[in-house]
Amino acid sequence: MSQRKSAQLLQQLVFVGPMALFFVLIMVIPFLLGLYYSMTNWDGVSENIRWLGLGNYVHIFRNDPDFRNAFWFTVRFTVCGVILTNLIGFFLAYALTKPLRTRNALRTVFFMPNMIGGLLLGFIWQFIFVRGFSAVGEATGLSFFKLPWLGDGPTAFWGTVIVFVWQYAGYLMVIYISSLNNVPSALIESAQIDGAGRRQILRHIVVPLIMPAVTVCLFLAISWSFKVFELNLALTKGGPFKSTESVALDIYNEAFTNNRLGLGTAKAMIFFVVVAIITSIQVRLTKKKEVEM
Amino acid sequence: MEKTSNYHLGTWVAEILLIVIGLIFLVPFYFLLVNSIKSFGDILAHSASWPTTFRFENYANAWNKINFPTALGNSLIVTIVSNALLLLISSMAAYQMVRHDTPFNRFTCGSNGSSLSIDYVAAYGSVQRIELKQQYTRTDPMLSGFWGAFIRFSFSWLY
Repeated sequence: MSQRKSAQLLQQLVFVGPMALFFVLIMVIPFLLGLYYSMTNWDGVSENIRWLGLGNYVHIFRNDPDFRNAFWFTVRFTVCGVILTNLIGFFLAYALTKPLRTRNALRTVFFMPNMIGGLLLGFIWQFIFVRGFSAVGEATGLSFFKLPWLGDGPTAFWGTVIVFVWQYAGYLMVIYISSLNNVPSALIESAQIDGAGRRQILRHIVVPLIMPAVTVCLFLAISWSFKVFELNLALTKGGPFKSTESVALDIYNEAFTNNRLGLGTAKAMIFFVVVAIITSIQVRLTKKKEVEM
Repeated sequence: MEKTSNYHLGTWVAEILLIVIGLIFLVPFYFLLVNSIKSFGDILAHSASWPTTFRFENYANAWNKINFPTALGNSLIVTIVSNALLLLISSMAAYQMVRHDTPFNRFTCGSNGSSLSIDYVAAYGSVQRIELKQQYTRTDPMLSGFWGAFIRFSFSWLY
């Protein structure tokens, strides 16, 4: 019995140990260090560190309009980004599980934006918005292309949303496709025989059965869009006048441009708590809707 | 008979619609490609049009300027090593977690998943400045973030 137990312990150690070790090294220790620094006035370089307790947090809540603005921008961005990426990703997946002739080529095309890294992609799009759109506007005369893209608050906001959707819709599409392929065709056929229309099948059979994928996709989209950083940096750098600054960029600027690492880390802690609460509520809600077959 | 011809029409419409959307998705790649062989003045003057002169020496310049072989080698090493470790470590952990559903295993799985929502800056804001600059390459956060994701996916596979 005890031999069996120690064998099990060894197995546990060998199988989970490496992951736990890396997790502690990469996540837990930096997180705890961050928690400590968020209560100091450290600038990231100097030797003298003064303990402030909750001073940084009080400062953020009392008088930091930039952080509040950044948060509001990020929330709006997340709502638009999550809804659009998931809707477009799902409908691309739904259409591309039908027997189309160019199906495989199109799947590749929609996934392609994920091949380029975030920062580079932001620079390409910045060029398109500033140079390409105006060229297209001159050629076609459409007012949509003649807007001052990235030049004022609203266009910069929607510009960021467009690039985000362009980048991630294809990724979510792949997850939705694999889930849609697992919906048993027998169920759909029997619903067809029972006289269900295409919309009814989608609403009452397909959607409930792919809820696990919805859980994953919503989770990914929420955490990606909340943490949007490179895109923001490459497209607008938070401008004009900090109107499109995301929380991650605000934290970065606070910590490394203003050299207030302590304050920046405190912001990051608040941010982490908020994102963790929102994503865990989302996962719990969508998990409830998952059905067993 | 009526129904099948209808169906065919529907698929054709869907197909054409999707090809159009696909072309819109490809527009940035068109810009990338076309402007990569223009001269600098041409890029600024005619950003969207087809190049008038083809300057393939741009590629040669870029190749030398960023020391492409070395850079590619570095990326390759990072990719191969991190993927191999990722696959090995994550799948081992996922296996054990599914087979032995103990409270400890459930906790580690949950905390791995929730680490996906940690901001890179938050996780690394604490470590030294220089290391922070390295987060640009996003190798380590990527690794740890993907563990959570990977385990999630492995779970959904195994169920």
